[in-house]
Amino acid sequence: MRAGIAMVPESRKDQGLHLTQSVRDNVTMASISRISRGGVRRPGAESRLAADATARLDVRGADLGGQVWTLSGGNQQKVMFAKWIARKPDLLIVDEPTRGVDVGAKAEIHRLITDLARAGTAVLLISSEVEEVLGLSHRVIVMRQGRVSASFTASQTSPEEVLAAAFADKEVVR
Amino acid sequence: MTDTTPATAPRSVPSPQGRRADRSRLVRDYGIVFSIAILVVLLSISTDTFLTAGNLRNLVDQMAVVGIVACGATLCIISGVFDLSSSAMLAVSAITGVFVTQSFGVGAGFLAAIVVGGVLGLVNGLVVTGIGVHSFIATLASSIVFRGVAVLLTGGSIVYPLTNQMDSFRVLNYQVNPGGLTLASWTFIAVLAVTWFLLSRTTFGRELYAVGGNAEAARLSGISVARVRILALVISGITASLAGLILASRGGSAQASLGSGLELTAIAATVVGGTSIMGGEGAIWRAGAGVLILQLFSNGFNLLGWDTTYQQVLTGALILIAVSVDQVLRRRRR
Repeated sequence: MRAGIAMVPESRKDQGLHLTQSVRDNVTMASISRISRGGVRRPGAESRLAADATARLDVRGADLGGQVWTLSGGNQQKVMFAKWIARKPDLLIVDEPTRGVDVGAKAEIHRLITDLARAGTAVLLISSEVEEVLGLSHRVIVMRQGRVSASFTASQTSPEEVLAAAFADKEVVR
Repeated sequence: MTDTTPATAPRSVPSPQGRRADRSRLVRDYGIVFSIAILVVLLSISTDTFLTAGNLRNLVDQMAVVGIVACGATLCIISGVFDLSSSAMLAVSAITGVFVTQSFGVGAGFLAAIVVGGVLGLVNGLVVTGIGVHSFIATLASSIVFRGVAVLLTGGSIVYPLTNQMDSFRVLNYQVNPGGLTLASWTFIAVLAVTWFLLSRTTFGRELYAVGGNAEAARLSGISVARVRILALVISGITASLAGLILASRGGSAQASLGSGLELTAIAATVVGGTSIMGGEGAIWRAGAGVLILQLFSNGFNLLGWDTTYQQVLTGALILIAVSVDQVLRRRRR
Protein backbone atom coordinates (compact mmCIF):
# COMPACT_ATOMS: atom_id res chain seq x y z
CA MET A 1 0.00 0.00 0.00
CA ARG A 2 2.75 2.42 0.87
CA ALA A 3 4.36 1.62 -2.47
CA GLY A 4 1.34 3.07 -4.21
CA ILE A 5 -0.29 -0.25 -4.88
CA ALA A 6 -3.95 -0.69 -4.04
CA MET A 7 -6.16 -3.70 -4.44
CA VAL A 8 -9.92 -3.83 -4.77
CA PRO A 9 -10.57 -7.30 -3.42
CA GLU A 10 -12.86 -9.93 -4.81
CA SER A 11 -15.24 -10.32 -1.89
CA ARG A 12 -16.62 -7.00 -0.78
CA LYS A 13 -18.44 -8.44 2.22
CA ASP A 14 -15.50 -10.34 3.67
CA GLN A 15 -12.52 -8.34 2.55
CA GLY A 16 -13.62 -4.98 1.31
CA LEU A 17 -16.24 -3.20 3.33
CA HIS A 18 -17.47 -2.55 6.82
CA LEU A 19 -21.15 -3.08 6.13
CA THR A 20 -22.48 -1.64 9.36
CA GLN A 21 -20.42 1.52 9.13
CA SER A 22 -21.09 4.66 7.18
CA VAL A 23 -20.14 5.35 3.59
CA ARG A 24 -17.84 8.10 4.84
CA ASP A 25 -16.00 5.80 7.22
CA ASN A 26 -15.61 3.13 4.57
CA VAL A 27 -14.25 5.47 1.93
CA THR A 28 -11.70 7.04 4.27
CA MET A 29 -10.69 3.72 5.86
CA ALA A 30 -7.59 3.24 3.72
CA SER A 31 -6.55 6.89 4.01
CA ILE A 32 -6.80 7.38 7.77
CA SER A 33 -3.35 8.95 8.05
CA ARG A 34 -4.31 11.66 5.58
CA ILE A 35 -7.44 12.81 7.35
CA SER A 36 -5.88 13.34 10.74
CA ARG A 37 -3.38 15.54 12.47
CA GLY A 38 -1.32 14.06 15.30
CA GLY A 39 -3.72 11.14 15.59
CA VAL A 40 -6.75 13.38 15.99
CA ARG A 41 -9.33 13.14 13.25
CA ARG A 42 -10.32 16.14 11.17
CA PRO A 43 -14.00 15.63 10.38
CA GLY A 44 -13.93 18.31 7.69
CA ALA A 45 -11.12 16.71 5.76
CA GLU A 46 -12.77 13.34 6.24
CA SER A 47 -16.05 14.44 4.70
CA ARG A 48 -14.31 16.26 1.87
CA LEU A 49 -12.26 13.20 0.93
CA ALA A 50 -15.32 10.96 1.05
CA ALA A 51 -17.48 13.43 -0.86
CA ASP A 52 -14.88 13.83 -3.61
CA ALA A 53 -14.40 10.12 -4.06
CA THR A 54 -18.09 9.20 -4.00
CA ALA A 55 -18.98 12.03 -6.36
CA ARG A 56 -16.36 10.84 -8.80
CA LEU A 57 -17.89 7.39 -8.77
CA ASP A 58 -21.48 8.55 -8.67
CA VAL A 59 -22.43 6.43 -5.65
CA ARG A 60 -26.18 6.62 -5.25
CA GLY A 61 -28.83 5.80 -2.71
CA ALA A 62 -27.33 7.14 0.49
CA ASP A 63 -25.71 10.12 2.04
CA LEU A 64 -22.20 9.91 3.45
CA GLY A 65 -23.52 9.06 6.92
CA GLY A 66 -25.68 6.17 5.68
CA GLN A 67 -24.66 2.63 6.45
CA VAL A 68 -23.10 0.73 3.57
CA TRP A 69 -25.26 -2.40 3.89
CA THR A 70 -28.31 -0.40 2.86
CA LEU A 71 -26.82 0.23 -0.61
CA SER A 72 -27.27 -1.95 -3.67
CA GLY A 73 -24.48 -4.31 -4.72
CA GLY A 74 -23.33 -2.01 -7.46
CA ASN A 75 -23.16 0.99 -5.19
CA GLN A 76 -21.35 -1.03 -2.53
CA GLN A 77 -18.83 -1.96 -5.18
CA LYS A 78 -18.42 1.70 -6.05
CA VAL A 79 -17.84 2.58 -2.39
CA MET A 80 -15.07 0.02 -2.39
CA PHE A 81 -13.51 1.60 -5.47
CA ALA A 82 -13.87 5.03 -3.90
CA LYS A 83 -11.96 3.83 -0.87
CA TRP A 84 -8.96 2.88 -2.94
CA ILE A 85 -9.10 5.69 -5.43
CA ALA A 86 -9.07 8.13 -2.52
CA ARG A 87 -5.48 6.99 -2.00
CA LYS A 88 -4.52 7.83 -5.59
CA PRO A 89 -2.57 4.62 -6.23
CA ASP A 90 0.00 4.11 -9.01
CA LEU A 91 -1.04 0.51 -9.49
CA LEU A 92 -4.58 -0.65 -8.87
CA ILE A 93 -5.25 -4.36 -8.71
CA VAL A 94 -8.91 -5.13 -9.36
CA ASP A 95 -10.19 -8.58 -8.54
CA GLU A 96 -13.52 -9.55 -10.15
CA PRO A 97 -14.82 -5.96 -10.05
CA THR A 98 -18.29 -6.59 -11.45
CA ARG A 99 -19.39 -9.67 -9.60
CA GLY A 100 -22.92 -9.33 -8.27
CA VAL A 101 -23.43 -5.93 -9.84
CA ASP A 102 -26.30 -4.76 -12.07
CA VAL A 103 -25.75 -3.86 -15.71
CA GLY A 104 -25.77 -0.10 -15.24
CA ALA A 105 -23.23 -0.14 -12.44
CA LYS A 106 -21.15 -2.63 -14.39
CA ALA A 107 -20.83 -0.20 -17.29
CA GLU A 108 -19.92 2.57 -14.89
CA ILE A 109 -17.24 0.48 -13.25
CA HIS A 110 -15.84 -0.40 -16.67
CA ARG A 111 -15.81 3.25 -17.61
CA LEU A 112 -14.08 4.08 -14.34
CA ILE A 113 -11.36 1.52 -14.94
CA THR A 114 -10.78 2.87 -18.44
CA ASP A 115 -10.63 6.44 -17.14
CA LEU A 116 -8.12 5.49 -14.47
CA ALA A 117 -5.91 3.75 -16.99
CA ARG A 118 -6.14 6.71 -19.33
CA ALA A 119 -5.08 9.01 -16.47
CA GLY A 120 -1.90 7.00 -16.07
CA THR A 121 -2.78 4.51 -13.34
CA ALA A 122 -1.62 1.00 -14.11
CA VAL A 123 -4.55 -1.35 -13.68
CA LEU A 124 -4.22 -5.06 -13.20
CA LEU A 125 -7.62 -6.60 -13.80
CA ILE A 126 -8.41 -10.09 -12.62
CA SER A 127 -11.61 -11.45 -14.04
CA SER A 128 -13.26 -14.61 -15.27
CA GLU A 129 -15.47 -12.81 -17.74
CA VAL A 130 -13.88 -12.95 -21.17
CA GLU A 131 -15.75 -9.96 -22.62
CA GLU A 132 -14.77 -7.83 -19.66
CA VAL A 133 -11.14 -8.81 -19.95
CA LEU A 134 -10.91 -8.23 -23.68
CA GLY A 135 -12.91 -5.04 -23.59
CA LEU A 136 -10.81 -3.35 -20.94
CA SER A 137 -7.26 -4.59 -21.30
CA HIS A 138 -4.25 -3.93 -23.41
CA ARG A 139 -2.59 -7.22 -22.63
CA VAL A 140 -4.28 -10.40 -21.54
CA ILE A 141 -2.54 -13.16 -19.65
CA VAL A 142 -4.43 -16.39 -19.23
CA MET A 143 -3.78 -18.42 -16.12
CA ARG A 144 -4.81 -21.95 -15.68
CA GLN A 145 -4.41 -24.02 -12.55
CA GLY A 146 -1.93 -21.51 -11.16
CA ARG A 147 0.24 -21.26 -14.26
CA VAL A 148 0.43 -18.80 -17.10
CA SER A 149 -0.82 -20.70 -20.12
CA ALA A 150 -0.97 -17.94 -22.73
CA SER A 151 -0.41 -14.27 -23.32
CA PHE A 152 -2.21 -12.11 -25.89
CA THR A 153 -2.51 -8.55 -27.03
CA ALA A 154 -6.16 -7.76 -26.46
CA SER A 155 -6.79 -6.10 -29.82
CA GLN A 156 -5.38 -9.05 -31.72
CA THR A 157 -7.18 -11.92 -30.12
CA SER A 158 -10.69 -13.31 -29.86
CA PRO A 159 -12.80 -14.63 -27.00
CA GLU A 160 -12.52 -18.12 -28.48
CA GLU A 161 -8.74 -18.00 -28.45
CA VAL A 162 -8.64 -16.86 -24.83
CA LEU A 163 -11.19 -19.44 -23.72
CA ALA A 164 -9.28 -22.16 -25.49
CA ALA A 165 -6.13 -21.18 -23.65
CA ALA A 166 -8.05 -21.22 -20.40
CA PHE A 167 -10.04 -24.42 -20.72
CA ALA A 168 -9.11 -26.60 -23.69
CA ASP A 169 -7.27 -29.62 -22.49
CA LYS A 170 -4.15 -29.80 -24.60
CA GLU A 171 -2.98 -33.07 -23.16
CA VAL A 172 -6.08 -34.80 -24.48
CA VAL A 173 -5.89 -33.09 -27.86
CA ARG A 174 -2.35 -34.20 -28.35
CA MET B 1 -28.03 9.93 -21.12
CA THR B 2 -28.00 9.48 -17.37
CA ASP B 3 -31.65 10.50 -16.98
CA THR B 4 -32.69 7.43 -18.96
CA THR B 5 -31.70 5.08 -16.15
CA PRO B 6 -34.82 4.75 -14.01
CA ALA B 7 -33.41 1.70 -12.21
CA THR B 8 -31.35 3.77 -9.81
CA ALA B 9 -33.06 5.82 -7.14
CA PRO B 10 -32.37 9.54 -6.98
CA ARG B 11 -30.07 10.64 -4.19
CA SER B 12 -32.64 12.45 -2.09
CA VAL B 13 -35.05 9.56 -1.53
CA PRO B 14 -33.85 7.22 1.22
CA SER B 15 -34.01 3.53 0.38
CA PRO B 16 -36.32 1.30 2.43
CA GLN B 17 -33.25 -0.31 3.93
CA GLY B 18 -31.97 3.12 4.85
CA ARG B 19 -35.10 3.86 6.78
CA ARG B 20 -34.94 0.50 8.49
CA ALA B 21 -31.36 1.21 9.47
CA ASP B 22 -32.46 4.50 11.00
CA ARG B 23 -35.20 2.77 12.93
CA SER B 24 -32.92 0.10 14.37
CA ARG B 25 -30.54 2.84 15.41
CA LEU B 26 -33.42 4.57 17.19
CA VAL B 27 -34.31 1.41 19.13
CA ARG B 28 -30.71 1.03 20.19
CA ASP B 29 -30.20 4.66 21.14
CA TYR B 30 -33.43 5.53 22.83
CA GLY B 31 -34.36 2.17 24.36
CA ILE B 32 -31.63 2.62 26.92
CA VAL B 33 -32.18 6.33 27.54
CA PHE B 34 -35.89 5.72 27.91
CA SER B 35 -35.33 2.92 30.45
CA ILE B 36 -33.07 5.14 32.53
CA ALA B 37 -35.63 7.94 32.47
CA ILE B 38 -38.38 5.56 33.63
CA LEU B 39 -36.24 4.17 36.44
CA VAL B 40 -35.32 7.66 37.61
CA VAL B 41 -38.95 8.79 37.61
CA LEU B 42 -40.16 5.64 39.41
CA LEU B 43 -37.48 5.89 42.06
CA SER B 44 -38.11 9.60 42.57
CA ILE B 45 -41.80 8.97 43.13
CA SER B 46 -41.57 5.88 45.29
CA THR B 47 -38.84 7.07 47.66
CA ASP B 48 -38.10 10.42 49.32
CA THR B 49 -34.43 9.61 49.49
CA PHE B 50 -33.56 8.96 45.85
CA LEU B 51 -33.50 12.56 44.63
CA THR B 52 -31.24 13.88 47.35
CA ALA B 53 -27.82 15.29 46.62
CA GLY B 54 -26.30 12.81 49.05
CA ASN B 55 -27.83 9.78 47.35
CA LEU B 56 -26.94 10.98 43.86
CA ARG B 57 -23.35 11.63 44.91
CA ASN B 58 -23.30 8.19 46.42
CA LEU B 59 -24.68 6.74 43.18
CA VAL B 60 -21.85 8.20 41.12
CA ASP B 61 -19.29 7.05 43.66
CA GLN B 62 -20.66 3.51 43.46
CA MET B 63 -20.61 3.62 39.68
CA ALA B 64 -16.96 4.64 39.58
CA VAL B 65 -15.23 1.26 39.91
CA VAL B 66 -17.43 -0.73 37.52
CA GLY B 67 -17.73 2.27 35.23
CA ILE B 68 -13.99 2.69 34.81
CA VAL B 69 -13.56 -1.00 34.02
CA ALA B 70 -16.52 -0.81 31.62
CA CYS B 71 -14.81 1.99 29.68
CA GLY B 72 -11.83 -0.29 29.08
CA ALA B 73 -14.13 -3.20 28.27
CA THR B 74 -15.98 -1.06 25.72
CA LEU B 75 -12.78 -0.29 23.79
CA CYS B 76 -11.85 -3.98 23.84
CA ILE B 77 -15.27 -5.24 22.76
CA ILE B 78 -15.55 -2.70 19.94
CA SER B 79 -12.17 -3.88 18.63
CA GLY B 80 -13.38 -7.49 18.81
CA VAL B 81 -11.57 -8.78 21.90
CA PHE B 82 -12.79 -9.63 25.37
CA ASP B 83 -10.77 -8.97 28.48
CA LEU B 84 -11.75 -11.34 31.26
CA SER B 85 -8.69 -10.54 33.35
CA SER B 86 -9.66 -7.02 34.48
CA SER B 87 -10.35 -7.84 38.10
CA ALA B 88 -7.19 -9.96 38.39
CA MET B 89 -5.12 -7.13 36.92
CA LEU B 90 -6.92 -4.83 39.31
CA ALA B 91 -5.81 -6.93 42.29
CA VAL B 92 -2.18 -7.26 41.20
CA SER B 93 -1.83 -3.56 40.47
CA ALA B 94 -3.53 -2.49 43.69
CA ILE B 95 -1.28 -4.81 45.72
CA THR B 96 1.81 -3.52 43.90
CA GLY B 97 0.54 -0.02 44.58
CA VAL B 98 0.37 -0.73 48.31
CA PHE B 99 3.86 -2.26 48.39
CA VAL B 100 5.45 0.60 46.48
CA THR B 101 3.60 3.06 48.71
CA GLN B 102 5.20 1.44 51.78
CA SER B 103 8.69 2.12 50.39
CA PHE B 104 8.36 5.19 48.23
CA GLY B 105 5.18 7.01 49.21
CA VAL B 106 1.65 7.29 47.91
CA GLY B 107 2.37 9.10 44.65
CA ALA B 108 4.91 6.52 43.55
CA GLY B 109 2.55 3.76 44.66
CA PHE B 110 -0.34 5.00 42.53
CA LEU B 111 1.95 5.48 39.56
CA ALA B 112 3.39 1.97 39.98
CA ALA B 113 -0.10 0.48 40.08
CA ILE B 114 -1.01 2.13 36.79
CA VAL B 115 2.23 1.00 35.16
CA VAL B 116 1.64 -2.56 36.35
CA GLY B 117 -1.90 -2.47 34.91
CA GLY B 118 -0.55 -1.34 31.56
CA VAL B 119 2.16 -4.02 31.54
CA LEU B 120 -0.31 -6.81 32.39
CA GLY B 121 -2.57 -5.52 29.60
CA LEU B 122 0.41 -5.64 27.26
CA VAL B 123 1.03 -9.29 28.24
CA ASN B 124 -2.62 -10.04 27.39
CA GLY B 125 -2.30 -8.23 24.10
CA LEU B 126 0.85 -10.07 23.07
CA VAL B 127 -0.64 -13.45 23.92
CA VAL B 128 -3.91 -12.74 22.11
CA THR B 129 -2.40 -11.26 18.95
CA GLY B 130 1.01 -12.94 18.89
CA ILE B 131 0.02 -16.52 19.51
CA GLY B 132 -3.47 -16.02 18.18
CA VAL B 133 -5.31 -17.58 21.11
CA HIS B 134 -8.92 -16.44 21.26
CA SER B 135 -9.08 -13.48 23.62
CA PHE B 136 -11.81 -15.12 25.67
CA ILE B 137 -9.64 -18.11 26.57
CA ALA B 138 -6.35 -16.21 26.68
CA THR B 139 -7.58 -13.62 29.17
CA LEU B 140 -9.45 -16.23 31.17
CA ALA B 141 -6.16 -18.09 31.57
CA SER B 142 -4.18 -14.94 32.27
CA SER B 143 -6.72 -13.89 34.89
CA ILE B 144 -6.04 -17.12 36.77
CA VAL B 145 -2.30 -16.53 36.48
CA PHE B 146 -2.59 -12.90 37.60
CA ARG B 147 -4.81 -13.87 40.52
CA GLY B 148 -2.18 -16.46 41.47
CA VAL B 149 0.52 -13.80 41.32
CA ALA B 150 -1.61 -11.64 43.61
CA VAL B 151 -1.77 -14.47 46.16
CA LEU B 152 1.99 -15.02 45.88
CA LEU B 153 2.70 -11.32 46.40
CA THR B 154 0.56 -11.01 49.50
CA GLY B 155 1.09 -14.51 50.88
CA GLY B 156 -2.68 -14.66 51.14
CA SER B 157 -3.01 -11.87 53.67
CA ILE B 158 -4.32 -8.32 53.50
CA VAL B 159 -1.68 -5.67 52.86
CA TYR B 160 -1.82 -2.11 54.19
CA PRO B 161 0.16 1.05 53.60
CA LEU B 162 2.10 2.34 56.64
CA THR B 163 -0.04 3.92 59.35
CA ASN B 164 1.26 7.43 58.75
CA GLN B 165 0.49 7.07 55.02
CA MET B 166 -3.09 5.98 55.52
CA ASP B 167 -4.65 9.43 55.27
CA SER B 168 -3.03 10.27 51.97
CA PHE B 169 -3.53 6.74 50.62
CA ARG B 170 -7.25 7.12 51.13
CA VAL B 171 -7.28 10.34 49.14
CA LEU B 172 -9.65 8.98 46.48
CA ASN B 173 -12.49 8.97 49.00
CA TYR B 174 -12.22 12.66 49.67
CA GLN B 175 -15.03 14.80 48.48
CA VAL B 176 -13.80 17.71 46.48
CA ASN B 177 -15.52 20.76 45.08
CA PRO B 178 -17.13 21.42 42.70
CA GLY B 179 -20.07 19.17 43.26
CA GLY B 180 -18.86 17.47 46.41
CA LEU B 181 -18.12 14.33 44.41
CA THR B 182 -15.36 12.05 45.61
CA LEU B 183 -12.04 11.97 43.80
CA ALA B 184 -13.01 8.46 42.75
CA SER B 185 -16.05 9.89 40.99
CA TRP B 186 -13.92 12.50 39.28
CA THR B 187 -11.49 9.81 38.21
CA PHE B 188 -14.44 7.98 36.64
CA ILE B 189 -15.56 11.13 34.85
CA ALA B 190 -12.01 11.73 33.60
CA VAL B 191 -11.78 8.15 32.30
CA LEU B 192 -15.12 8.60 30.52
CA ALA B 193 -13.84 11.80 28.93
CA VAL B 194 -10.50 10.36 27.84
CA THR B 195 -11.89 7.12 26.43
CA TRP B 196 -14.70 9.03 24.71
CA PHE B 197 -12.14 11.28 23.07
CA LEU B 198 -10.00 8.32 22.01
CA LEU B 199 -12.94 6.46 20.54
CA SER B 200 -14.77 9.20 18.73
CA ARG B 201 -12.16 11.80 17.90
CA THR B 202 -8.93 9.99 17.08
CA THR B 203 -7.72 7.76 14.28
CA PHE B 204 -7.11 5.08 16.89
CA GLY B 205 -10.84 5.14 17.60
CA ARG B 206 -11.61 4.71 13.92
CA GLU B 207 -9.21 1.80 13.83
CA LEU B 208 -10.92 0.16 16.82
CA TYR B 209 -14.25 0.20 14.99
CA ALA B 210 -12.61 -0.93 11.75
CA VAL B 211 -10.81 -3.88 13.33
CA GLY B 212 -13.86 -5.01 15.28
CA GLY B 213 -16.28 -4.58 12.40
CA ASN B 214 -14.32 -6.53 9.82
CA ALA B 215 -10.75 -7.46 10.72
CA GLU B 216 -9.89 -8.71 7.25
CA ALA B 217 -11.14 -5.57 5.50
CA ALA B 218 -9.29 -3.45 8.08
CA ARG B 219 -6.09 -5.39 7.45
CA LEU B 220 -6.44 -4.94 3.70
CA SER B 221 -6.93 -1.22 4.33
CA GLY B 222 -3.50 -1.08 5.89
CA ILE B 223 -4.53 -1.11 9.55
CA SER B 224 -2.46 -3.25 11.90
CA VAL B 225 -5.07 -5.40 13.61
CA ALA B 226 -2.58 -6.63 16.20
CA ARG B 227 -1.37 -3.16 17.17
CA VAL B 228 -4.91 -1.87 17.62
CA ARG B 229 -5.99 -4.82 19.77
CA ILE B 230 -2.83 -4.76 21.88
CA LEU B 231 -3.45 -1.08 22.61
CA ALA B 232 -7.07 -1.80 23.52
CA LEU B 233 -5.97 -4.47 26.00
CA VAL B 234 -3.27 -2.17 27.46
CA ILE B 235 -5.91 0.52 28.03
CA SER B 236 -8.11 -2.13 29.64
CA GLY B 237 -5.21 -2.93 31.98
CA ILE B 238 -4.79 0.73 32.86
CA THR B 239 -8.50 1.20 33.58
CA ALA B 240 -8.41 -1.95 35.72
CA SER B 241 -5.53 -0.50 37.75
CA LEU B 242 -7.41 2.77 38.29
CA ALA B 243 -10.43 0.83 39.53
CA GLY B 244 -8.06 -1.16 41.77
CA LEU B 245 -6.62 2.02 43.26
CA ILE B 246 -10.12 3.26 44.07
CA LEU B 247 -11.03 -0.01 45.81
CA ALA B 248 -7.73 -0.10 47.71
CA SER B 249 -8.01 3.56 48.63
CA ARG B 250 -11.58 3.04 49.79
CA GLY B 251 -10.68 0.09 52.00
CA GLY B 252 -7.24 1.39 53.00
CA SER B 253 -5.84 -2.00 52.02
CA ALA B 254 -5.47 -4.51 49.23
CA GLN B 255 -5.80 -8.26 49.02
CA ALA B 256 -5.59 -11.00 46.41
CA SER B 257 -9.35 -11.39 46.06
CA LEU B 258 -9.93 -7.67 45.46
CA GLY B 259 -12.66 -6.92 42.91
CA SER B 260 -13.35 -10.54 42.10
CA GLY B 261 -15.79 -10.98 39.20
CA LEU B 262 -15.87 -7.29 38.41
CA GLU B 263 -15.07 -7.72 34.72
CA LEU B 264 -18.29 -9.66 34.22
CA THR B 265 -20.37 -6.84 35.70
CA ALA B 266 -18.46 -4.39 33.53
CA ILE B 267 -19.03 -6.42 30.36
CA ALA B 268 -22.68 -6.83 31.32
CA ALA B 269 -23.02 -3.07 31.76
CA THR B 270 -21.33 -2.49 28.40
CA VAL B 271 -23.72 -4.84 26.67
CA VAL B 272 -26.80 -3.49 28.48
CA GLY B 273 -25.76 -0.05 27.26
CA GLY B 274 -26.02 -1.29 23.68
CA THR B 275 -22.43 -1.91 22.62
CA SER B 276 -22.51 -4.94 20.34
CA ILE B 277 -20.69 -8.03 21.60
CA MET B 278 -19.91 -8.83 17.97
CA GLY B 279 -17.58 -5.84 17.81
CA GLY B 280 -17.40 -2.83 15.53
CA GLU B 281 -20.30 -0.99 17.14
CA GLY B 282 -20.69 0.82 20.41
CA ALA B 283 -19.85 3.98 22.30
CA ILE B 284 -18.50 5.18 25.61
CA TRP B 285 -21.74 6.85 26.65
CA ARG B 286 -23.30 3.39 26.36
CA ALA B 287 -20.89 2.05 28.97
CA GLY B 288 -21.89 4.93 31.25
CA ALA B 289 -25.58 4.33 30.59
CA GLY B 290 -25.28 0.58 31.18
CA VAL B 291 -23.49 1.07 34.49
CA LEU B 292 -26.05 3.67 35.48
CA ILE B 293 -28.93 1.25 34.86
CA LEU B 294 -27.34 -1.54 36.87
CA GLN B 295 -26.53 0.91 39.66
CA LEU B 296 -30.05 2.35 39.65
CA PHE B 297 -31.33 -1.18 40.17
CA SER B 298 -29.13 -1.80 43.16
CA ASN B 299 -29.72 1.68 44.54
CA GLY B 300 -33.47 1.26 44.09
CA PHE B 301 -33.53 -2.12 45.78
CA ASN B 302 -31.59 -0.67 48.69
CA LEU B 303 -33.77 2.38 49.10
CA LEU B 304 -36.99 0.39 48.81
CA GLY B 305 -35.69 -2.29 51.13
CA TRP B 306 -36.40 -5.10 48.69
CA ASP B 307 -34.74 -8.49 48.76
CA THR B 308 -31.54 -8.21 46.68
CA THR B 309 -31.98 -11.76 45.38
CA TYR B 310 -34.57 -10.39 42.96
CA GLN B 311 -32.05 -7.80 41.90
CA GLN B 312 -29.82 -10.55 40.53
CA VAL B 313 -32.70 -12.09 38.61
CA LEU B 314 -33.64 -8.72 37.19
CA THR B 315 -30.06 -7.88 36.22
CA GLY B 316 -29.67 -11.22 34.47
CA ALA B 317 -32.92 -10.72 32.58
CA LEU B 318 -31.82 -7.25 31.54
CA ILE B 319 -28.57 -8.58 30.07
CA LEU B 320 -30.51 -11.21 28.15
CA ILE B 321 -32.86 -8.57 26.78
CA ALA B 322 -29.97 -6.36 25.71
CA VAL B 323 -28.20 -9.17 23.88
CA SER B 324 -31.44 -10.30 22.24
CA VAL B 325 -32.15 -6.82 20.94
CA ASP B 326 -28.64 -6.68 19.52
CA GLN B 327 -29.16 -10.03 17.83
CA VAL B 328 -32.52 -9.10 16.34
CA LEU B 329 -31.22 -5.80 15.02
CA ARG B 330 -28.30 -7.61 13.42
CA ARG B 331 -30.42 -10.31 11.83
CA ARG B 332 -32.66 -7.77 10.11
CA ARG B 333 -29.67 -6.56 8.23
CA ARG B 334 -29.08 -9.77 6.37
